[in-house]
Amino acid sequence: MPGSSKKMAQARLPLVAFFGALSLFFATLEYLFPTPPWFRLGLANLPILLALDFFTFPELLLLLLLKVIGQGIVNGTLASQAFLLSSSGSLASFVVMYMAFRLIPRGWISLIGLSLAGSMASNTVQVGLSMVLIFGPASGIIAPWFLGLGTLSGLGIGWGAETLKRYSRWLRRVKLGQSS
Amino acid sequence: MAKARNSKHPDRLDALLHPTPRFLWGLALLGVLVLAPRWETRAAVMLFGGVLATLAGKRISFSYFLLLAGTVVVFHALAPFGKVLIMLGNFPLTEGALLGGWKNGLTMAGLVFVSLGTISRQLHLPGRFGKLWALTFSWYEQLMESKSRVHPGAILLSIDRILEQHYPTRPGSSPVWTQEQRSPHGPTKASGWALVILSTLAAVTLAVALR
Repeated sequence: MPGSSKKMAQARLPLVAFFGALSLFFATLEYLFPTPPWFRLGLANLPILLALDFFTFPELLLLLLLKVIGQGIVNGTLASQAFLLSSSGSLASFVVMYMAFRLIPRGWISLIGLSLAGSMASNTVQVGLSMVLIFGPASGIIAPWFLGLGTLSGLGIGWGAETLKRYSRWLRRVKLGQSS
Repeated sequence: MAKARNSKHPDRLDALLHPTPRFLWGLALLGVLVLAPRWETRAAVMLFGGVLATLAGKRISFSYFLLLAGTVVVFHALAPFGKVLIMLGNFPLTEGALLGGWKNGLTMAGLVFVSLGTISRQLHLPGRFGKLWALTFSWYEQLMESKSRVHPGAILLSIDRILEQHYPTRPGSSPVWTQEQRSPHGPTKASGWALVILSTLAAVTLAVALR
């Protein structure tokens, strides 16, 4: 019934907000790991990866919006080029991960594969935008380094998400609560 | 880049300005920064943005911004344009490329500085999305209070426990998701308005005078 499905969607909104908060929390935990100043691990994408299995497409878009705008407000970069790069990278990553998640049969691709695909998409878009908007075409020479590090971080985040998915009792209970 | 403020670095602008006019002020300064034809105006706005970010309690890493601006200049210099200043072997170092890179580097640093100084965490977003954002932010603050309980040796287990604490899933328990009641922010003070109007006028006047 449309009424009851609307009620269910309303009831899931707090969970969307919680996953958004989790993304911001992971973005903060990122500072525990040493990285070059021009490179971010993208830990905030870990909850998005986990959320693919929980939410509908509009709910996932809402989560993405909470993540990118939230990061812009919490970090204070909402009106800078950092926000443009980060939001474009996040959107590209989300589109690729969501399409792979929906189109590739379950069991053929793990969260590590999804994360890797998302990371490549995000880094490609960010390198392209920084070549056009910030550094100029000559900066293409750093693209292999950037994409190489992005591949490593994508693998790491995918591994973290896969491990949480397998062993997290909290995620299992949330999933059970949603299906009941 | 810059670290979020903490109790040792309070946001001094918060007492003067309501988050919404503060945000709009930032947009006006960013407009001047991006549209100003001369690099001197952009440098002035960038420096002012640095002062604002510092007043907002953000600890700015100037070495990061020197690296950012330096990298932009170097990459622009690789694409020769305009009058040749000097030949480095077979490579012409040109005035146009250097100036273009310098202006772009200042703009990039200025965008981040002004944004850091004028975007407040208390910024209220309108509508249903704004309410959802307020709920997200409230949970984020609660999760941040548990940050010290993340153990690097057992990172996943400790995160799992924190999640269970803040969004309980055990039978008989339910998540506490009543929206945090934030106390309303005070209005912008007269000194705050004076700062906004004078600084915006000064930036516009400088941009027009130097064009």
